Amino acid sequence: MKVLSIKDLSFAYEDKKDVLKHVSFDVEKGQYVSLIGHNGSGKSTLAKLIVGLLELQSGSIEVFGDTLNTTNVYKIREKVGIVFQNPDNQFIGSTVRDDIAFGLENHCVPHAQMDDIINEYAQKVNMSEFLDKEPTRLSGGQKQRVAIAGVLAMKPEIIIFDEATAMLDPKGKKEIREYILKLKEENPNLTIISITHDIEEAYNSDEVIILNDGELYMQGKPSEVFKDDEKMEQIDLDLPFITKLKKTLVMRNVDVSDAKTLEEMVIKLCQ
Amino acid sequence: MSISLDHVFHIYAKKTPFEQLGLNDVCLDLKNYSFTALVGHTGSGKSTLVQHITGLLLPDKGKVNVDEYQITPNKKQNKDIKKIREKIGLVFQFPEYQLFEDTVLKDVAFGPKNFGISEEEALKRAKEALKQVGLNETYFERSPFELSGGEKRRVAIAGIIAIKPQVLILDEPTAGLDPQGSVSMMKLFEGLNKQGTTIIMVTHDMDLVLEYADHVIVMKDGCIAKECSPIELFSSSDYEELSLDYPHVFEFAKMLQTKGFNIDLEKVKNIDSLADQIKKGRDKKYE
Amino acid sequence: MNNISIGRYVPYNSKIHKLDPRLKLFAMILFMVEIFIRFDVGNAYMDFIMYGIIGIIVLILMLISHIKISSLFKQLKSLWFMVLLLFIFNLFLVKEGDFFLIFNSVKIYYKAIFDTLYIFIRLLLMLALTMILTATTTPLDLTYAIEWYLTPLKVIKVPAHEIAMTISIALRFIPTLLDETDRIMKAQASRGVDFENGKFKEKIRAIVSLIVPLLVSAFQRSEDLANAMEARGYNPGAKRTRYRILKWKIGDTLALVLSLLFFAGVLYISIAKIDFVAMFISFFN
Repeated sequence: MKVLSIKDLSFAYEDKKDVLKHVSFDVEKGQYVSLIGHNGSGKSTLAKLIVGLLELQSGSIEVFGDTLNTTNVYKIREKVGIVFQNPDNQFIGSTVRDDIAFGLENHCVPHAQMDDIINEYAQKVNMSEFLDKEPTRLSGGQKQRVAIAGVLAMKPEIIIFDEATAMLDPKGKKEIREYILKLKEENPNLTIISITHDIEEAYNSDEVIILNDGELYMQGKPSEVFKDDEKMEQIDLDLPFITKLKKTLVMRNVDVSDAKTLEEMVIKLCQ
Repeated sequence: MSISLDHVFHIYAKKTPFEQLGLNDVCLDLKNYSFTALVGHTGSGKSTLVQHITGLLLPDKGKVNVDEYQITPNKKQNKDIKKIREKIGLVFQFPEYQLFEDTVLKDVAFGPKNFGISEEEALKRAKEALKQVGLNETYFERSPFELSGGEKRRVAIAGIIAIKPQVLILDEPTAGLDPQGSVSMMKLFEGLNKQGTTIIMVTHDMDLVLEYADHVIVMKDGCIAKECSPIELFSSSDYEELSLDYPHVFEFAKMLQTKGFNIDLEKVKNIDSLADQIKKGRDKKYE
Repeated sequence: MNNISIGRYVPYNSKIHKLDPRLKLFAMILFMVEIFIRFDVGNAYMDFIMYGIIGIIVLILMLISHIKISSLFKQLKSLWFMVLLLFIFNLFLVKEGDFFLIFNSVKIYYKAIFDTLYIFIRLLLMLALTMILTATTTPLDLTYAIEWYLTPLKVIKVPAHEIAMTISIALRFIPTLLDETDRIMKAQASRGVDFENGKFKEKIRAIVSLIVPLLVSAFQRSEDLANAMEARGYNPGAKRTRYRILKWKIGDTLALVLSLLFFAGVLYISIAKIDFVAMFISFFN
């Protein structure tokens, strides 16, 4: 089932050249999609268009069959949650508790249910013991976990991670990456769209979409997309470590290109 | 040029409930002309340490020696701090936030002018620095605010390079850049190091440490936990205890080694040298 | 940046901390009014007696709230200069009544001393009251109290909720912006900017090099924040439920009655021109 359908989408910020050029693609329910591309390739603009933070100029976006317009945008935001890049700038409440409550208040959840929901989702992201902490006392990774709890508490059907790990240290990055995988495992019906520079993360997702200079450049399963390393390198995109290594080895007449994991490669090389 | 720290202590939020030890009895002699990486978890004291070297933070106890100058806990004694800052350039994380002039050229010339360099010379240095970071004449008269993130970062770094410091301290210089941008940034620092600038780089990225650094300082809980070469660090038996990442290439080389593959770990620096070593190992085997 | 202690919430669990913020705000306003009431019985002592009584109550409130008296005097440090200046002005401007002494042919009047003392005591009491309020009430609770008082004004289109939301977000971002200021100052200091010394022209440059980046980043933050709020379903003007609800308790009613009674008493003493000293003397005569 198609949960998101982008058709012939183009967009330009005032007086500037097009950031998105005739982009079309579909996302199936329960998929974990990685959206990659250079800075300025239009990834974040696309995310903002999907949740209606920017107004459509040409083309259309369908979420669960409903075409996004100015009247149903609030309804669509109930189904699509988004976690942004900067941990500080999306922390709205004055404590963890208040921040998770913010979305609930907006969706008119009755007061009596709020505490239970807050506790439940704080627990899910391992932030139960920090409920009364202020944002200045939290690490970047912890703030991002709160942002995720805030989004999950609204029970969305699609979650967009807009470079949610870009500003974190390795520990924070790892926490969030592992959490996304756990999330997917626990909720097979949840659709995840992750905008990322992390090629290794993309390698482990169900589907990869590559944007280049505002155009859809490639789309498909990671194994297929990354196989075409020449096409990737044409636009100077980084390759997953395994693909890079295979390629450098092939240049030295060592062919282990049929290995699927690093472990397999080690075994092949030792033969 | 010599930089050393002598039993330096630093306490944050002193006499409040949030009091925290930032540096705990740090002694250090920095190596001239080296490319030193400063690693450790967030909050281990890396940033606190580099801010002591240029007197942005003062020690609560102990002192910092930079050539003939000293930085001590007493604020009134530290009259030479500006001279120290001219010799040691510090580029903060996300330095693009420090831009404020209306043209790129003026912004880069701002630093040298503050250190008493004449307008003419400052502009000359600014132009040189901008070329070094890969921005040509077409950028000189543009507003720094209309540039892309990566370009802004280059302008900010040029702003420090134009001061011509003997030591360049970089706090996470590649954070938030895309992979393509990171590589060209690192090549720039490598070039500066070869021309005689001492580089101290604060980073979380162990791939960069292995590929570029010749010396590593590991910080933990405000103390220096280890000081050695990158290869010594990654091969040491207690590295796991620091719970830091391994560089990708090193991890792979080690996997090969444990499976009995004959590989010289010391020669593995990046993906090319890894492939070279694998090729060499295979060739030997079939001889 | 850490030495700003006025207006800082101190987490304790005292009786005052537990009171409803609406009550605390109201009671503080009553106290402020009381401080400005004069007790004119033809002599100055009645004013001082009443200041003494109010002062003792404020002192007791401070003790209950776990506020150290020394922290109040720390705040006063910045006020000494103002009080001194005021005293000098009064010395030359007030020329009525009896004089206290002559110093180098300058007459120092009692009234000049008293007038300065009045202002000093008022400042001191106001400072103490503000400290009690802010040290025992989280900024957020205070915001909710303000919102509650503004709610009736919705009739004349005062956006009470939006005002409260704006205040609470501003409060939330104060520490973030202070950190940012510190960071930019350090970055510019690394480029040779001296924020402490230098000529006037250099100082202006230094401030510009701080303010411009700070504004640029504040705009970026506000844009991000607006996006985050909207994406999480915030729709200004639409109906929302509330997580934090202020609960009025019996203790609050009691405190309200006490403060109103005290206020009425003070007002009566002032209007009826009651003179404690005269009463005291006549009682024994």
